[in-house]
Amino acid sequence: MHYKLGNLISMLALTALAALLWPGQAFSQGNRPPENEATLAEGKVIYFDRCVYCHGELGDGNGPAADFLDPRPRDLTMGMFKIRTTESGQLPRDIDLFNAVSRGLSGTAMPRWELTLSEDQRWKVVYFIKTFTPEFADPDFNPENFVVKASSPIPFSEDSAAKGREIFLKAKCWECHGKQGRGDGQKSDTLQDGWGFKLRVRNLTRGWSLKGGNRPEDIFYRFSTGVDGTPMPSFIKTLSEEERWHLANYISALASDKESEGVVIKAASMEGDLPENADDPAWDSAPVLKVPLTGQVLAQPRWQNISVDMVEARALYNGQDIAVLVVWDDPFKDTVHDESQEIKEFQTTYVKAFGDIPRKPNVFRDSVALQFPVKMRDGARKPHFFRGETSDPVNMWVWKSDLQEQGVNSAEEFNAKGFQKPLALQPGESQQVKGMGTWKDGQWRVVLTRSLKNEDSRNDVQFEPGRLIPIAFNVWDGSNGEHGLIMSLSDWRFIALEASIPGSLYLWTIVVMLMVGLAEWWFVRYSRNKRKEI
Amino acid sequence: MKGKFEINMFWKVVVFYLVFYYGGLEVLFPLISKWAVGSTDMLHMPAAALAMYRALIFTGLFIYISSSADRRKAFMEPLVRFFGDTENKTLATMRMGVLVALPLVVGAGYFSDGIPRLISPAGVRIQHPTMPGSYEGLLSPFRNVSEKQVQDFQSRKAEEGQPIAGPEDARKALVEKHTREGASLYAINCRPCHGMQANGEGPMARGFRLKPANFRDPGLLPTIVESYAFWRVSKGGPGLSSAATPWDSAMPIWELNLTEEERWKVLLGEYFISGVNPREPEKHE
Repeated sequence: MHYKLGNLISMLALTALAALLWPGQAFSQGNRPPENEATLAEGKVIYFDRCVYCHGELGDGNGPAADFLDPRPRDLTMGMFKIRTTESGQLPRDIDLFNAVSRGLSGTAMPRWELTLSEDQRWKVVYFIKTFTPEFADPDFNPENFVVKASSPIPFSEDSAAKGREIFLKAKCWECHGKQGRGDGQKSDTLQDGWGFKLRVRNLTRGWSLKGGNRPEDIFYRFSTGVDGTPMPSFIKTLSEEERWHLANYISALASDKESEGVVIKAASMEGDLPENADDPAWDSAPVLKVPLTGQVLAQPRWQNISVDMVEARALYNGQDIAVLVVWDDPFKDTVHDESQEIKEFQTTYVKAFGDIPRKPNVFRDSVALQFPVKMRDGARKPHFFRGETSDPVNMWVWKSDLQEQGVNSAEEFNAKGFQKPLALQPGESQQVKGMGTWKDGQWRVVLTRSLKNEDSRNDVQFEPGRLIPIAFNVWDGSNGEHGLIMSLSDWRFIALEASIPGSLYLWTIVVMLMVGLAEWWFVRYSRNKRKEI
Repeated sequence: MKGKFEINMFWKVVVFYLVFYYGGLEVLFPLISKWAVGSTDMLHMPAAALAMYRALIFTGLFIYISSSADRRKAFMEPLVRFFGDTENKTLATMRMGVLVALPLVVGAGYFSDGIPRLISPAGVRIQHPTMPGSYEGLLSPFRNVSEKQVQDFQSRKAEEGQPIAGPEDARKALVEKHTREGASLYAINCRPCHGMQANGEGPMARGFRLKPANFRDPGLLPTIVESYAFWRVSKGGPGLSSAATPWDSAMPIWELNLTEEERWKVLLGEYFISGVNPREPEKHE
């Protein structure tokens, strides 16, 4: 490897220029160490202490943890990088690698190393990473000569975002990303990445899952440079810079990072029949709680490549019944379930990302489960959020898309006594939950309804106004291979029926006020008599 | 009650109550406790304690007033003057105001107390409950390697054509090897929640309300011995006592899926990635 002084100087000058052009860039020229034998050696030590577990000793992305990850860790030997500011097919600039290392890649296993590595250390590891790809040393491939121009950013405005929406439609972004941006546009699951792995289209409404960041200046580069190694092309030739800024503003507005505050689903009270359908306008009156989901990583088979990372929940109730609406994004509608393809035995603590389970449509059903404790206790005590315990069982309402497709009631009631025991289906007469689900534009909307109270208090949750009732969620995306314990889950949240003010309270308030008035009347009389004595 | 600065007994009692109850308990106490613990928020007294002090102050004042006929008279006099007056027009207006306001205030208080409310599910959680005695004093067989382990390692290395001369170098190299193996186990099994930076911010952490432990927290690993960590890894959330809210913990029962050797090794990896040395167990005489 040889470093020409001229190259180095021009490279430094260009990165300095880039630093000025890159908005919000926390990068100071002064702290960048020189690129030489000594710093490379230091970078190598950091790489082997921190990075090797995923990216491997050879830099080929085959570290011990690699098999469990989707997207798989980057193979650093091929010179093919997704997140860049250079033209399609070109190498990334040093600053691109530095930014990826520093900020991490959202929605992947790549962490934000700026939290624990100094700027100096991050530069050194970048220098070392570049040694895996010989082209980095070749002046013909100098990425600084292929930087995508981002000279006149357009600040965010509603107007700009609206123009961006038109461009989204015109440039046919929706063909893959879906009309609402939920990643549901593709007609089949045949997309593959440049490394031969099956590919999931990004759900653009999830700010936290956009690898290169969700600020307009990040998003601008994704469709300007393309995402190498994926079907995501560069639009630098088909869209003007101005159009691309509008589009970036639109996507950034779509890419929400918002999570609900609080942990309670406040069930709204209503008169008359509860809506059976998920699209009923009555649901608008019920406040929504966004519940983040994570992979079931508590017991074998553990699963970290979930596709459903959030559900939105609402609830309505009347004098007799309660209905819960659960909404989540799922790009494929899976309504069959082939039990013979369920996997029972696993060799590893986690399910491997590829090969262990069939991650394709039409094998497993989409499904959601609500979980409640059977016994309500005072204080914080609850059954464990993962399927309860032998001594403290949970009641589960499981909605299944394949039952819905068959035209029978799509909800089933189970009890669970811990994750080590199978779910126990309740007998026919105890099956009282009604289910109804609809799928549209990459989104399931499922309503589950039951009476507030029933006879079966030994196995079923009972709803009492004014009480915080723990609730947890399990979600399965069939085309992601999810079945059994391979699923997304939440820990405990709460559902509460707002208790109405009892009529007796008004009555007693009046009585109390009358008694105070009576006491006043007595005291005034007493004082008048006493006053005469003074 | 003729002195120039003297106020009557009724107002004395009212001022005393305001100063001690509101000034002392509701303002001064939170301020002092905020300063004492260096918190950024006011630390209020628990409602039950407040109610108890209020009752004490009331009782004390009642005894003080009623235990002497003079004081009783002195206390009642201004009240009787105010409520028993039949001539002064200003007093009549004020009296009407008080007579109307009092039932309204009491009624409003009674009503708002009676509105059914959701009680927030706050709970106290003990972070580091005591470990079972059977784990006490256990030492990592992969950190505290025996001479035999070192000799075996040395001869194995010699067979591989990479001999290590000194026993101390060999011991270091063996522990280093275990650490690397443990770090790989950590990357596979613990990283999803605790993160590759051991800061509790792994990609799976986002969904859990009870956040995975941050091993870089100076209040965590430096304060526990390695056998404690071994217990937590082996028994997981369900192994905790109820004071530590096991139902909210996502920590797996790793003894179900990792061997004893793997669990000790993973700790070497965890400490290495966190950049923390395990706390030395106290020597007992």
